Amino acid sequence: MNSAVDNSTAEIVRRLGVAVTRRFGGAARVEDVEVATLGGSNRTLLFNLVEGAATRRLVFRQETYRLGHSPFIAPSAQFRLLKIAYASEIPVPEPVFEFEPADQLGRGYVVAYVPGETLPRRLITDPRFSTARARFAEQAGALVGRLHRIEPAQAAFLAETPDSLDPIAAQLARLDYYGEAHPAVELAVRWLRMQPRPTARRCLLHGDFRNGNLMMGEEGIRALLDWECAHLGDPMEEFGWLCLRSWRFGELDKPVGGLCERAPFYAAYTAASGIEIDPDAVRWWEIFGFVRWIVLNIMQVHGHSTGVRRSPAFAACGRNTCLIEYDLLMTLLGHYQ
Amino acid sequence: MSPETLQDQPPVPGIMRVVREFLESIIDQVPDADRYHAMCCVYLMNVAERELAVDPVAPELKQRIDAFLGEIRPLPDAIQEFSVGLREGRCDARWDETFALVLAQVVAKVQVSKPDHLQPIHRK
Repeated sequence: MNSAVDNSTAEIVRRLGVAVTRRFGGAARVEDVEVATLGGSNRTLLFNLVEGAATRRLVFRQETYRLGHSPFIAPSAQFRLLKIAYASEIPVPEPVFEFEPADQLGRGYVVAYVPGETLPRRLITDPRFSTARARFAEQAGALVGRLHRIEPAQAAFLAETPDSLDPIAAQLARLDYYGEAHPAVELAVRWLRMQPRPTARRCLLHGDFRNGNLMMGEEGIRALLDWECAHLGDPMEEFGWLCLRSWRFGELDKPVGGLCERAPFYAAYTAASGIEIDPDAVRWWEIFGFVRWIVLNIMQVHGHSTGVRRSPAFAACGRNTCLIEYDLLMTLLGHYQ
Repeated sequence: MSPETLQDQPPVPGIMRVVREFLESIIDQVPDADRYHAMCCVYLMNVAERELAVDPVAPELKQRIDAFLGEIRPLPDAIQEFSVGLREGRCDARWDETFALVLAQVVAKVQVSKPDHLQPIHRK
């Protein structure tokens, strides 16, 4: 965290203070603001909401830009999903309030702060998280199972998003928008179109369920974060994404995010959801997941190259694209599992 | 003076190297908030050093793509045409040959971006 607050952020904090008093009364105030880093398309601030003797640590999340063909759902949809998930006892940060036009804060919301660790390498290797790792298969499987049991009609507002309507077409539309030619993506899409398309039930999917988006403590999972890729789809899509080689960080014998093997995770999922795993469908969605991950990296470097949001990390995404393409091809060849 | 350029010492690869080596030397002193970006800078400098050492046109690969497409074009145009052909299904009947060519193109990119990522069979 960077505790320095620049001038533009100071104005945001002032407006946040007004927004807080509108909701919690004139005595409520904002204190101890920290600027969180590494947000690609959002400004994220941590702050204390002080009401008399009570203090709550909260997170301010504001959309800072929106590219054409964005793969991310609007903040208002994210906030609605957080409320649905919270009411369904999915571990998510408690949604506190959404910005309104009178707040002059643009699009975004405030949620409760959940302390913990999200960095995958620490979660995978640090001895402090050995208990969390031992519990991960059961906890994560049950969590996704409960998520997929949510009645999709509750999230009907996601039904018309590109990723809900036609996931392959959504990726190709984005790739064309970025204007890059990637034969590996086209080859994989051709492979996907030639295979029987999984046609299972439709569920509410988190869409980015993986290490990095799970707030973990030493005891295990505390919260599922970052709902900006949520959509409706085949539940097996969630596992194709989660089991991508890209999230294993060298722990190749632990395909579930480098944290556990598939069997115990799937068993916990089926026990919680009543949905059986279809390995062929998971494989189809894993190939699709590589395509999606490649396109997301191209998006990041597109934002950098066009000057919308420049950073070394986004520049590096462009040169990471071929590493994902290589993993994709080696998986198609059967060399990688 | 280097025989290939008007400019004085050091040559571009030497400039890239000294910047990368300096970044590497200070990485542990970089504040947490900036360390990931600093590591990305080191990565990008490594990529740039390797890219300077190879022919950007990748003549062997270009020759293979031209032969596959039956026409000689500049490399970006050839890759664009190859991609369009793939999407339209024009390469379906030559799947194995197509796959091998896509893999060769990707391997050539990874050899610059991060050669350690490749299996031994694909390393130079």
